[in-house]
Amino acid sequence: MSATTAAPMTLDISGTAPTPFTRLLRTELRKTYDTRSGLWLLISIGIVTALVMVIQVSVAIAQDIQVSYNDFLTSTTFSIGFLLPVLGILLLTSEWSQRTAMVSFSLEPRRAHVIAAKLVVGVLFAVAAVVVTLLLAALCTAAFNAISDIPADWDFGIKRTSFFLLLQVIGMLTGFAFAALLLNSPAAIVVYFAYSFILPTIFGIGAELIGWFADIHPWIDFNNAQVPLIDGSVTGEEWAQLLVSGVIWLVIPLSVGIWRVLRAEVK
Amino acid sequence: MSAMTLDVSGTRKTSFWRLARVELRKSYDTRAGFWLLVSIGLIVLAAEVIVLAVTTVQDEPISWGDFIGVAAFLTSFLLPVLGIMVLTTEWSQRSAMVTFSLEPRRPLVIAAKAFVGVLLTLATVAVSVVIGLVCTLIYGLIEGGADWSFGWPDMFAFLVTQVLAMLGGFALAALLLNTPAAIVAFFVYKWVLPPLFFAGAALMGWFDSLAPWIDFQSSQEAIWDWSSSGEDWAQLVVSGIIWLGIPLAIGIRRVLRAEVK
Repeated sequence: MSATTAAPMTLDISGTAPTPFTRLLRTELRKTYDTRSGLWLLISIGIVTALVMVIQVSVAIAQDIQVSYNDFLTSTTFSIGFLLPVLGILLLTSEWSQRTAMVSFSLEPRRAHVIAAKLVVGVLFAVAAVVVTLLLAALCTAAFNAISDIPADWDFGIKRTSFFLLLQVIGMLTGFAFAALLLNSPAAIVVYFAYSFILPTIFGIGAELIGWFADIHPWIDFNNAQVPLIDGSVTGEEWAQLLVSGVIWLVIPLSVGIWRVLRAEVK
Repeated sequence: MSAMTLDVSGTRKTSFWRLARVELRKSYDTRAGFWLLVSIGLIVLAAEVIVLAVTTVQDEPISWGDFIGVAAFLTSFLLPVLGIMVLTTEWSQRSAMVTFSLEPRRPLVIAAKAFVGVLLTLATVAVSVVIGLVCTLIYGLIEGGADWSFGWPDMFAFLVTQVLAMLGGFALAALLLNTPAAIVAFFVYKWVLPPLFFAGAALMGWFDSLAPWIDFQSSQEAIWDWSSSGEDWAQLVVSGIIWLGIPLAIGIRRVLRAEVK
């Protein structure tokens, strides 16, 4: 029962410092592993990567096949190459599917900062995945060297390592870009897999049938443009093709997607 | 005042057809569900139009069966996504609580969902055949003659493989009850496993003889080829039990006992 009308309360935050980026970063990093589904996604990535390599090394030893350090890294196409983009997608879309976007964007209305923090976390995970992969591959190569009669081939350099890192970061970012564009986990995952598994086939058929398409094909097929990175030597023209197709499949979706997130109604 | 009771002993049980109608409606009356179905149709249509344009411009020969092959390639990964979402959305949208309260006999709900999945698969097959027909007709008009080779065995194979694909997604969905996990698992099965099987068979003799019995995707070739070899059909059954029967059985058992939150 209030007979007197109190003066309207105000919350003076003019003296409060804005949320620093490092805190956002720490929050986003924690969000990736402190839910059951997030934790299991990370554990699955690790398990799948290790499993693929263990199978590879046992087959190589049993069948006396020569394997190199590089072969173990190439086989990650079936593990982190496949799952890092999914991580990039879920980083962003889970905010919508779990309806936490409301809280995130209320506590930090500068949405661009939140997205940037998510992006940095994604890159951090890509780097971590690469480090783990390099270690696992070294272990497998050493095991092969010790058990098999064939000496292992350790040939790998700083250049190839940085290409490998670049590949994984591109993969993660492509997933992130599709996620920002669609803001829906199933849709983004399906579109990403269609892009990475179906599109190359269609592009290949198109290039086979149509002359002018064969000429532009290398410039618009981002998957194909990444092959020189896997092979470890990239010519000037191939860098240009990587750049042009990257603008089409990475920069444009990412820009449109971020623009969409900045203006999306949060429900 | 005595405690109120709600006497439902005289009320008839919910019929399966009502459940099927409800599940069918659920598949298209949300925005996400509606757009999934529309996307499937549009993707098939767009692909067929591109194929039609390319073949007429380049004067390449193409038959009705080829058009349907293109559609089958696309629907073979879109229908499983449909099969997955028919089941997992119940968990991700948390409507399972309502569904299983109104119909506590969960096996009937799951059966109704599987039935709807099959119905939508049949509809997709019908639409693909019609789009293929129209494209062949246009091709015939422009090129002055069309190749109508597409027989009942092809039609049968198209239908059966699509239903199997949809059920494969449905089985993974029941096993994982989580949309992203089921979709990723499905694509691993669909695209990652075949090259691994192939590499394994090329490297190891014992795996080469084992592979046909565990590779469900390549054993489905028997349906397309209308194979006369009993071994092919046996391989289809064995690999089908591994990839469809077992996940579906474990998954359904899981749904029947899952705590609904």
